[in-house]
Amino acid sequence: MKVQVKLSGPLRRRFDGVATKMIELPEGAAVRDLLKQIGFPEVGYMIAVNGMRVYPAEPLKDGDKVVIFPPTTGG
Amino acid sequence: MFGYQNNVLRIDLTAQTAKQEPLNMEWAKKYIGGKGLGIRYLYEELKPNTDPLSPENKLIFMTAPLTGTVVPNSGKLAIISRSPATGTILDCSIGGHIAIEIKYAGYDAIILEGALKEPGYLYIEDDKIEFIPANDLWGKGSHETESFLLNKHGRDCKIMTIGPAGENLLPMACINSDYYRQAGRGGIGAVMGSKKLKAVVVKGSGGVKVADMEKALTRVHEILRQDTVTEDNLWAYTDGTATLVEACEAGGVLPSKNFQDATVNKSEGFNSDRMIEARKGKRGCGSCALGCGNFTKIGDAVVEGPEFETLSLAGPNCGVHELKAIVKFNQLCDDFGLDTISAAVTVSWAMEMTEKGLKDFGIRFGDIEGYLQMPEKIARRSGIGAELALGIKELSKRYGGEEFAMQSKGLEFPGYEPRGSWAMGLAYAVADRGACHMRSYPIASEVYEGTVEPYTGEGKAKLVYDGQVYNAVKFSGIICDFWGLGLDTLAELLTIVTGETFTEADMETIGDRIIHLARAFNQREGFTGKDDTLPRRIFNETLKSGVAAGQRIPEEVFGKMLSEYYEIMGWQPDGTISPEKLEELAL
Repeated sequence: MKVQVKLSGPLRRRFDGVATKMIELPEGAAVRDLLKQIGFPEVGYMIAVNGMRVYPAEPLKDGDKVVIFPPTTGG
Repeated sequence: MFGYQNNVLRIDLTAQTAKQEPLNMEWAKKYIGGKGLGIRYLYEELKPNTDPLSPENKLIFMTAPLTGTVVPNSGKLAIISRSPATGTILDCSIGGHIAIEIKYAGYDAIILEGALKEPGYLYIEDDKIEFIPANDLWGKGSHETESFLLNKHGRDCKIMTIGPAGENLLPMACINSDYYRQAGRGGIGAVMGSKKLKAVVVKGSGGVKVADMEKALTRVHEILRQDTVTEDNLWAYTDGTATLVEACEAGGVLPSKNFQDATVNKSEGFNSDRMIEARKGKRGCGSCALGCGNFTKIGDAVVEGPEFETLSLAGPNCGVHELKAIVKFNQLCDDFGLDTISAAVTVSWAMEMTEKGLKDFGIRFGDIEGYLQMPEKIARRSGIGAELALGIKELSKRYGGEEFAMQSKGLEFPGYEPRGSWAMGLAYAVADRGACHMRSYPIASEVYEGTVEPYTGEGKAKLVYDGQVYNAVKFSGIICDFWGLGLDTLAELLTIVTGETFTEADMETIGDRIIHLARAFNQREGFTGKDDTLPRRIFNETLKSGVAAGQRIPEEVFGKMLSEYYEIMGWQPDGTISPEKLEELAL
């Protein structure tokens, strides 16, 4: 399956400045598998799938839109 | 100690006299500067029950030992007074370049007392102090006023102004500097307006002595590379606080229509991607390594910002989902001298009152044309604005709707929905100046990092307390909110600059002392634990949408969090500090 991954804020640099990438994952993969594949730890980053915050155990499905947010300290 | 000028400028506006006096160095060791030291001065000097808008109230501009040094992100100024909005202690923080200029003019602090008889402004150039009439500027916007003064006194001056909202003594009036930077909350601009002071113009020619300059340069260079300009902090540069819009929406904490619900999948028109498309330039405060400021221009709407609070509260919380309208609302609030947070929440409350048929304020959710008329009407107290200028605590007493008047201690809520971040609810309720996101920021752990379960009261009192300690000492350093430095680093930087040894443990002690001092100030003004509360909506109504759908903060859970917080603080069950504890603290 393929999921669309968007990196927010300074994390974009990890995709060489590209806003989003399609990432191929094996069927049955969860968010933690995606994080591992693209080099993120499981803790410390907020993950949203289709506009809703999820945790690393969340299963993914083909066509999901994933956003990874950087840690922030205030607003 | 190095880093300080050991000099306070005390100005009597009534007599139009100024004198210099040594900084109280005993207090400086215990409170550092900024927020802590400013509150210490006010606690000592302000007679209890002083009317915040009377000449007897004081307005304190406080720098810190790091201000004006090579330490990054140290360019903010603390402004302290008794709040006209809440009656509590009020400390605000303003960016730009004014803090550094005050320091270079030779002062750690400027204390304003009394009031001018006619509108005027202060011109401070090192030792030269002038009181200049400003009848021609009275009634003008902050932007026009700052432009006029820059043209008159030279573009190397740094300036603070108030707009019509400050002149008209609104509880939501702010102080502006560098056009788009604000000390926003609690009506600090009304205190300046009550003193008939339109502006403060500062020009300084000096510098700041640092105890160990060689080490300062070496360590600052290392810290900049290893701990400041890093992926963890650079969100401030790449996106600014707009990055929080999409994160908060996904986390179920972006409010909708006066906190009636959470916003879901509606932020495309005003999130950070949209902000970047409309961005025309970047700017940072003096000494800043991160540069969070974004100039945004869409048609005739232009502003530095909007920041997250404005995007959230003047956005979906008013039923508005288009960036151009939010930019315009922000621009108008800045020029008229209004805090965008309190102004937007007052408007959203009026929208809900109107739609529910409780009182027709003539404005409904999503009515952009009507909403863009509100800043001027409120600031000038004209038409319906004469009522809205009171703020929602007073308005809801008069017309009902108290259960959804989103305020605590009279200060309107910031842009985070507490039902999706229960510790944030506690943080709002116990914040020293009323509902505030700058005293403690547990939403980072509960929502962004996901390291703490958000929908429970367990462990939240300690989480809120730790955040309060951290921010209290950080804002006394003064270091900007957006640099997530460790307290060990803050202690090291203070040691290098002042020549006195500070440890991480000292930072925690000082932070704790400042929280107690602020509480003691409020207690002296009659506040008790009964004031540490939230509007009924948070306890009784569940969110319907988003990941926090179904959530409310049960009142008994809130009560338990509050009791645990008092226990951690060593306060009595009613939230007061016992006389013995006050003595033990030796504030």
